[in-house]
Amino acid sequence: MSRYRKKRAGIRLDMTPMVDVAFLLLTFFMLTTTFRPLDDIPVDIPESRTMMMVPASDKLTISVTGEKTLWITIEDPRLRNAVFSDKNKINQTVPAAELAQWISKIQIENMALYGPGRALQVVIKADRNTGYEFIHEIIETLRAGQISTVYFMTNPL
Amino acid sequence: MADLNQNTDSRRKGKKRRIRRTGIRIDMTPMVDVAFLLLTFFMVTTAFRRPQTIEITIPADKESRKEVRVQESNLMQVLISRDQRFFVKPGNADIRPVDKSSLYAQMTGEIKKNIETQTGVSVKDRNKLILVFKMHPQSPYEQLVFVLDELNRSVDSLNMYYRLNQPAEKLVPRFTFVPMNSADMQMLEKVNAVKP
Repeated sequence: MSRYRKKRAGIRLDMTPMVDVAFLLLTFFMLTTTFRPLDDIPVDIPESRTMMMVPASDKLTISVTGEKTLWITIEDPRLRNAVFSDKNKINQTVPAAELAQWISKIQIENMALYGPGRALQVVIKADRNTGYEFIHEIIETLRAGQISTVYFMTNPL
Repeated sequence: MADLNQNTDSRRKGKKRRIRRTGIRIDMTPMVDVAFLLLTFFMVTTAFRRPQTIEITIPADKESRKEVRVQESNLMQVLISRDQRFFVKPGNADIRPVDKSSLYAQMTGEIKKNIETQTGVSVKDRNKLILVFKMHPQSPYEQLVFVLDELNRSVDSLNMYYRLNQPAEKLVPRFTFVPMNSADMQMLEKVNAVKP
C-alpha cells in the first residue's frame, strides 16, 4: 500500500509591510524619545497648562506620595554621595519631621562642593490629593531654610 | 555581452546568451529581529508626557520681612472650602460663591478693573491687585496648582490684551497663600447656610 505523502510547501508570508511599519515606528521612537528617569518615584501629580520646563541641573526633588511618604531625590552624583548613606540610590525616604535637618544638610554639602553660586532648585512633586496643610508645612520648612524659589511639578493637560 | 556594437542585426542574429539571473535573496531575519528589539526598547523606555513646572517665589522669613501695607481694595480673596467649592471676595465687597470654571474670568476681570482704576505710567505699575488664596487645610494640593495655573492664564491673557510683549513690561502674577483661619471658616459657613 502506498502512502500518499503530500509534499508540504513551506508557507512564505510576505513580511515586507510589517517590517516597513516596524522600521517606521522605530525611527519615530528614536527621534522623539526622552528617556524616563531611572528610579522614578511614581506620584500622581496634578495637571496644569504651564510651559515651563523642569530645571535641568542642581535639582533637589521632594516627592510626596499618596501615602504621604516623603522622598528626597538628588540626581547630582557628587552631592548624593556626600549626603545619602546608600551610595547606589538616588532616592531616600525621609520622615516629615526630619525634612528641615535634611534640607540644611544638603545645603551645607552643596555649598561645600560647589560654592555659594549654585543654589539648589527645589522641585516639589506631590500627589494631587495631598492636603494643603502638608504642602504648606513643606514650604514653611523651605522658607526657614532660606530657599526662595520652588517649582511645582505638573503634567501637561 | 558587454558588446557596444550598434549593429542591431548582428545582435538579433547572434547567439543569444541569456544568463538567467536568480533574484538575490538576503535573509533579513536577523536585521528585523534587531529592529524589533530596538523598537521594544524605545517603546518601553520613552516618556511621553514630560512633566513641567510652575514656579513660585516664597517670601523670606518673618524676621527679615518688611511689613507691606496694602489697601483692602487692592486685595482679592479666593477661598477654597473643604468640599472644594470656590468663593471670591474682591476688595471690601461681599463674599460670593463662584463656579470653579469661572474663576479665570473673575480674576481676569478684577485685575483688569484694578489696572483701569489706578494711576501710573505703565500698565505694570498700575497692576496693584494681589490675589490672596485661602485654602482649607484639608483641601487637596491639586486645587493649589489649579488656582496658580488659572492666575498665570489670567495674567497671560491680560498681557495679550494690553499688548505687552517685552519681558520688562509684562505683568507678573501677584499672589500670596494664607492659611485659612477660623474667621474665614465662619464666613464660609455663613455663605454656605444661605446657599442651598
